Amino acid sequence: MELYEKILVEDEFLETDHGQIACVDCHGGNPDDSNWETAHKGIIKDPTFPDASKACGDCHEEIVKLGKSSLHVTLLPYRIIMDRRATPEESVKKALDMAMGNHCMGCHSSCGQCHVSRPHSVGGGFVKGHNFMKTPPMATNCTSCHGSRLEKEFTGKNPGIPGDVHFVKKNMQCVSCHTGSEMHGDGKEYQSMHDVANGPKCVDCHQDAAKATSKKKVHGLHYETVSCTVCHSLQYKNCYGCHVGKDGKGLPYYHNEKAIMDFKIGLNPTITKERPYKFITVRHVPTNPGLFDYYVKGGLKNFDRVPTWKPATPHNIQLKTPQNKSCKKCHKRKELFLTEDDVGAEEREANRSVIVPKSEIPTKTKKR
Amino acid sequence: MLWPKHRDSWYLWIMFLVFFGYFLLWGTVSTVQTEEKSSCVSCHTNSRELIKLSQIILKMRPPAKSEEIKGEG
Repeated sequence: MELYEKILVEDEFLETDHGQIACVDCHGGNPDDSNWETAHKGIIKDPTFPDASKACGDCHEEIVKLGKSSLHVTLLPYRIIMDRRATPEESVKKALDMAMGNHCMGCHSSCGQCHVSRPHSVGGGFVKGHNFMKTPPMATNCTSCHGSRLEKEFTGKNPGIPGDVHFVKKNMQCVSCHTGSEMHGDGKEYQSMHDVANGPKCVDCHQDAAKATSKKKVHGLHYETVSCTVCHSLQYKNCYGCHVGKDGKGLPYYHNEKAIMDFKIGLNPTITKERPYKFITVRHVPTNPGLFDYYVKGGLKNFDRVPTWKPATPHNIQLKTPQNKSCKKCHKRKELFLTEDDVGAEEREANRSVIVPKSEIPTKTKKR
Repeated sequence: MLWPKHRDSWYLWIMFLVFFGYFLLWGTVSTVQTEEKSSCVSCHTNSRELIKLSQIILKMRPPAKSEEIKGEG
């Protein structure tokens, strides 16, 4: 996208309700100055971040109030995980704050970066000439950030692996499951996206699927034992060995050593009423003990406190998958389960809660 | 004398007030729009102007991301 396209306002926008508001009211600057450089002094590129109260709050008070706790805005789980892994020293904390500021915390969103422009972390730019979109488009907004893993899974861009049946057959978009109320938040500061109360659940639509008395016998047998994705997802991307730093020009970079398509069933490290499953799909996330070595050597001395294989909801759901063709396609199939052999010695302790002991790999089918 | 005496004058007087009021209101909105048009919007709706300016900006602006970025996030 060319720079001029990013800032070109469509005439149509000026006819809308939002187009009646003077530019300066939200963005600042000096409209009386005929010199474009000085006229843009102090301009606010995104008046909705970090606080949307002034720009949006007068009309959308409730959403703005709740939105302050949205994980898309706060990125709180990143902060919590890094705090748990960090060496508890003030100097280390400062260095890690700087590292996260340079490499992680820019990947947030805001009212404007969903409803007006593309997120800044992917280059920004108006999606539709500054028109406000009630529903953010999947291609320009959701998947511009959630692109390398979820988009490719969902739309079938991983070679040899079909896209999600919800997209391919039903043309469902992200917002079909992830509603506005989930995105905007409900005012609670969740520590993980899996805790979000109004997040999507398969049973919202497939109500009979997760019942002990399900019409499908196999659903009744596996009820509350395995998550839906264990049976209904395909291979997904796992990233390893991310390192960050700055190049000779002082610009931040990251190197991700490898990305591998794999499918692994692990133990559920946090069994809750909403997620009672013993087995879930797990994905390796792009982290490692030396992630921030450029900023501070040995800054993550407590790295082992958090697994590097995280609960995952692969977005390539199918009715029929290689592992659900028959009982034998999953039971006794050691290669489907995350065992010690799959985890390097340096990460074994971190993943103790998700590694499946060989004795726990289902062998016989049990009748309930 | 401000108040008309004849019936026809009444009619003209009312018409004058209606039109005067309309122009007063319309004129005010028009001024606001003209001011807006002449500043931010007049440039940001003009692709030719923006292309010209963006070429200048690109020459001034340092790169935002390192060319060393590798792999997929």
